[in-house]
Amino acid sequence: MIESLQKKISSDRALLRKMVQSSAIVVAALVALALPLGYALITYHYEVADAQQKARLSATQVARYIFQHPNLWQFHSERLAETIGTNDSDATRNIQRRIVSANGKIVSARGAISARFTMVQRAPIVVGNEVIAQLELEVPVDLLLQRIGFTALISACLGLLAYFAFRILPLYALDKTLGDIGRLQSSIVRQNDELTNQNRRLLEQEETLRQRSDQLAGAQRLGKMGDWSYRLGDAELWWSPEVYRLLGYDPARFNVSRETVMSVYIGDGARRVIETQSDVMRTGSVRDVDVKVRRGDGSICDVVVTSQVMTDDAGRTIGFLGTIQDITARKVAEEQLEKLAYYDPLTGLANRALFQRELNDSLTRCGRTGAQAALLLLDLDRFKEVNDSLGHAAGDELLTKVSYLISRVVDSSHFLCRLGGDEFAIIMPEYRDIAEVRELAGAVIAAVAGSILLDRGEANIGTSIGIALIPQHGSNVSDLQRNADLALYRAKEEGRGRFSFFETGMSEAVQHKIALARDLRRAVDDNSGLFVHYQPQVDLATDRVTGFEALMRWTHPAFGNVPPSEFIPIAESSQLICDLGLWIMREAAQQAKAWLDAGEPARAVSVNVSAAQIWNTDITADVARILDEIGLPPHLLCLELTESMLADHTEARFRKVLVALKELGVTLALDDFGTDYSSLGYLTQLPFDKLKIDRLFVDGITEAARARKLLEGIIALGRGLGMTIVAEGAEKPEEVEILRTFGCDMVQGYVFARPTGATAALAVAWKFEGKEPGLRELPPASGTSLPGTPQLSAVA
Amino acid sequence: MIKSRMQNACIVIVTGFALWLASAEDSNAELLRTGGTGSTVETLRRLGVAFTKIEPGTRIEVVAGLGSSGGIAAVAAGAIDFSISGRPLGAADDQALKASVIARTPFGLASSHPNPGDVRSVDVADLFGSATAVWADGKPVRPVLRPKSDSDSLLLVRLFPKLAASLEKLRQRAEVPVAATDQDNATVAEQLAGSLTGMTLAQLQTENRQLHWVSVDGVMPTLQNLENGAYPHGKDIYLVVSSRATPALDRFRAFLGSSEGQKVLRENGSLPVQP
Repeated sequence: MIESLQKKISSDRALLRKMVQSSAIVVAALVALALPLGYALITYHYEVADAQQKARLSATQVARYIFQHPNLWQFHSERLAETIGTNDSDATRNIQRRIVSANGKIVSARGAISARFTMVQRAPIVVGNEVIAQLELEVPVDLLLQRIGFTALISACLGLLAYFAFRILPLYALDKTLGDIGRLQSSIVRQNDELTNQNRRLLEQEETLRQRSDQLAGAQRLGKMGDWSYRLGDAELWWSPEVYRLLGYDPARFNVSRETVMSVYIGDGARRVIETQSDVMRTGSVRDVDVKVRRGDGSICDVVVTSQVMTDDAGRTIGFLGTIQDITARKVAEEQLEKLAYYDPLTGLANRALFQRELNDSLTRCGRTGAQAALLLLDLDRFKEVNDSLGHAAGDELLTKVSYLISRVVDSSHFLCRLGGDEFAIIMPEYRDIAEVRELAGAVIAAVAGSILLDRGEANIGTSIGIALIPQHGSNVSDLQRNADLALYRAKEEGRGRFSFFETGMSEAVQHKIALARDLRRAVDDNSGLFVHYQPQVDLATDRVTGFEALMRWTHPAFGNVPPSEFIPIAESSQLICDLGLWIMREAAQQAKAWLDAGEPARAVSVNVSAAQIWNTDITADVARILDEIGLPPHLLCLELTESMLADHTEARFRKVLVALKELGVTLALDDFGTDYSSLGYLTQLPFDKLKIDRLFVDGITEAARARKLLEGIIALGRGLGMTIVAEGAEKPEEVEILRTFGCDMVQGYVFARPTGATAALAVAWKFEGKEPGLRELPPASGTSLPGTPQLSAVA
Repeated sequence: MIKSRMQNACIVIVTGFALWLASAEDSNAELLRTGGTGSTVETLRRLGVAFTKIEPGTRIEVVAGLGSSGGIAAVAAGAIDFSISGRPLGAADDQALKASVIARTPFGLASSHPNPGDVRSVDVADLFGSATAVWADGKPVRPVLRPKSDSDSLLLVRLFPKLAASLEKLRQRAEVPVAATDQDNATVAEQLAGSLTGMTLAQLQTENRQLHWVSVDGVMPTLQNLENGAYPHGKDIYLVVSSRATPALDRFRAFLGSSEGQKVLRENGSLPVQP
């Protein structure tokens, strides 16, 4: 098409060039000929007319003169000459006037003429109706011819110019126009190509947009979200397909009018949506509102309706647009979160957060109404042992059952919650008599007391209760909690299974214990104030010290030496006992290694291991790491475990731990045998190396034969099982001799030495070996505090 | 102007009618036809009357308006018997003619102003040439021109210094009248207030014109002043004849030389000159 157009343009161009050239010739000819010809005609006509006029005028003048001077007028040449030239200066005009008589003779003449070409005009001189002469006026036409010639020359030039102007300029314009058309054509071709490319890109973008629209629709489906819009004044809204799908309505049947859409909202949802959109209209902000809607199948779902104003190009509000997102799952999760936030997932009771809010409400209510309320804090007795012995699962089961038992004795007005661990709380919102509080506390204690059957066994626990009255015992939540906690502490101190009301003065004793617990923690963390005493164990067969029991001592920076009977329970109640056990194990091992490195004979060190270390820590790993770090031969480390830690725990797990420890090569001793839940089965089933007989069986053997028999039986039993027998608490040489008689292997007691510092303890060992103290300087174990004066006090 | 022309026409008609009556009365009398300068036309007529009284058989016919040049040409052509010219023969004239001075008349400046006063001869040129020239009483001077070839024009240029340029300048002024004949000149001068023109005493005196002499250098152009030389400006009057002299002409020439003829000349403002 472009090529045919180019051919057409070329042919038209040639035709136009011919036409233009012909037109230029015609115009040039007209200009070159018509102009001088016209000028000549006009000028000649003017000159002739002028000469005629002058001739007639002069002829009239001459006629008048002759009429006045008829006699011999032919001889009046001078005056006639004057007469015919009175109207102009012929000399200056280069004109000659002549009076020619009838016989052709010049009567008079005026003016001289010097020209190559002249023109003569004649006028008759008529006197008395008779032409008596002719007046000839001869004027030069050289100038006229020159002007005509000049005009012709100019015209020729103009014609030439016209020719070129009419030929060149149009052709130039034509060529320029055709050039412009060519460039325009090229531009059109380029633009066409560009448009083609743009069209292709648009198609690609359209495809991309379609894909992204699909992706957006997919994303909306994934996000359970759809968009909507509404133009002010319109009867209907617009819903995206996803909105229909979310809400379960058929686009073909459901008319999205404003009324039908509002009817979808449940409760005050429609009102809140309208209020939100009014706010959006007023502030221009983006707002959302959570509402419930009825789906097409009648089910209810939660959605969040997000709205913002829709504006035109001028920024005027023309409607709304926004999204609808199904947040049912989120709502369910929020409700669950709320439950998690305010309820104990194990027992289903309210948790501490809700407790504090409820307690605050009770406090406020009592302050406002003058009513009296009570806060009962419960702590299960011996729950820790159950947890440690039977495991967390059993503990959780116990907590669940305890929660059930307590909930049975409280009524609906009471607020029961689990604060954490084995702590519970009851808020008695109102009481009239303090007896009601006592009655409730007693009922709760009774409900929890006794055996509780668990999947893995039976648990015998109880509960202690501390009571703080609202508002007498506290004007705020923290005071009430602290005072009820003090009362609980008192109840536990008084023997457990009791309840105690808060009394003024409770706080000081409890605060002292709390301060000790805090300072003990700091002492462990800073490794300051804690040190180890060693009590020798004497081998009765060789009369040599073959081991030491490491016993912890604590010197408080303010209170001085704190007896183990005071700080060990504090440590056990706060799980600090695990850290303390690990600490003394490391200290004792280092000391033993130091002695060994100093050339001393191999002597074992014994450390006590708490149940918490068995159940709550990886003691096997801890022991292995310590032995590895220090390099102490494992058999020189003896771990002493009590029977009590077996009471509430499964034997299998305990055995598993002991076997693992045994595999490390350490020595295992059963401590305080016979004082608690002694089970002869342990002796045969568990891999103990040593049996430590409590002082209870040693004390009085010199006087009581039954005691001696019992001791002898125990020793014989142990020896029969291949265990090394260690008797504790021997204070008299006689007792030692009896033990020796019964075949006891080792004795540990005041009869030989009290627990003392490492140096003093070693001195005792040397003494048994006949060495003089001070002969050699032995290094203490690094990090071990050695008091200047040994504290010879036994472990509680 | 129209009136003047009518007067001239009447004069011509009356003169012609008188000549016709004379010829009719005496158709056998010998006729001498003459013409020439207009300033002596009336003098010629009076000479003719005087001559005819003496010689009744000869009548003098004066053709008016020929002028000096026309008269010479007419003599050459045989149209008239002799001519009275105000100029001598020139190169362009028929060399067969003969001219001789027969009289001399004062040539002066005349004006219609009643008291034109005096003018120095050196100021004459300015008097003609200046457009702002005024008479003694402050009235403007209005010159009258003559044809360039007229004998009086030639005479004026010859008599007064720098007048040729002034006249040529004057001719550029279209409002200035040009009188073709001496009679036209006198008539226009009479009719034009404050006029100034050149004129002979013979014409002014014989035609009784209402004009007044302008004294030149304090001297009036009287015959006496011309004769005694006090007034230097005069115009020679020539008698031009052809070789075809007739007895009547000869008698007339003789009459001019006679005391009677000279008397007539003197009485008409001309000093006779012996041929």
